[in-house]
Amino acid sequence: MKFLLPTVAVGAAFVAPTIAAARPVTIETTMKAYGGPGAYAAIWVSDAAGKYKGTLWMAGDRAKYWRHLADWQRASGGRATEVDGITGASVGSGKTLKITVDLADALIDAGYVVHVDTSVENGRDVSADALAPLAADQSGKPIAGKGYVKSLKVSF
Amino acid sequence: MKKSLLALAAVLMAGTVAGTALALTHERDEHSTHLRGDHARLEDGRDGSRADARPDGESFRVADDHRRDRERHHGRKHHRDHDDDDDDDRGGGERAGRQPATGPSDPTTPVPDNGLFQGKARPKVEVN
Repeated sequence: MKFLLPTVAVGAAFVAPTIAAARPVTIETTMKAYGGPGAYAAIWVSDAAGKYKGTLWMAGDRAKYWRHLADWQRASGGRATEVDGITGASVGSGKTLKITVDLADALIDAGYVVHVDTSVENGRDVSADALAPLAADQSGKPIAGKGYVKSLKVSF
Repeated sequence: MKKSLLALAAVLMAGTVAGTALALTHERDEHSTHLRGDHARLEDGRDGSRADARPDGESFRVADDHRRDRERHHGRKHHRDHDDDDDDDRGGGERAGRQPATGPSDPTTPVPDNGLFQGKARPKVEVN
């Protein structure tokens, strides 16, 4: 018993910073009712210098079409390892793709930007369809897309 | 000597005539069999064309035209089918009215080590 409190204290000392360092961030991408087949969408993050940081989600699981997501392709090199385990189905017309991920606090208010590139078969390829800063003052505010994305909202 | 030469020439001539006659007969038979086959296909519709045979051979041109049309159509259809395969690929299989699947394509694959996923937690994904 006399070791319990010190053990808990030491454990908490290690665990607490980990918990505090990350927070759940929700990214909601709502597609316009464009009426076509499901859209491929790459959701990725760049740093303050515009350099690719990483991909959060790839909607559309056929690698041969990822090249149509031109900004993502250019930034990431289009490598499958960038999206391993974070790839799902394309997003239908009028649907909302909601992703919740624990992001490091260090990414908030540090100039990082969430990018959404989209592409639809027999339609257009829209690079930077919507961009949303990872900034506290922009949290929960929908940002209009310029192509197939109706709105992009980042909340934390 | 002269008689034997004449006899030999007669035999050779007779053989040549008989051979030629047989060859011509066989060729005609084959041709008529071929025509009968085409005509029968035209009449019973197996060829997919109308059985409006005319004595001047127009029916065969019609049949050929139909066959060519059908082949062209088949070619287009095959091409379209091929495109459809691509459509399925591109759309991830979800067409209008079908609910797209969500979640990672391979749940066992670890998330990328890009510094975004704290504790390697996989993102929660929903499509509504």
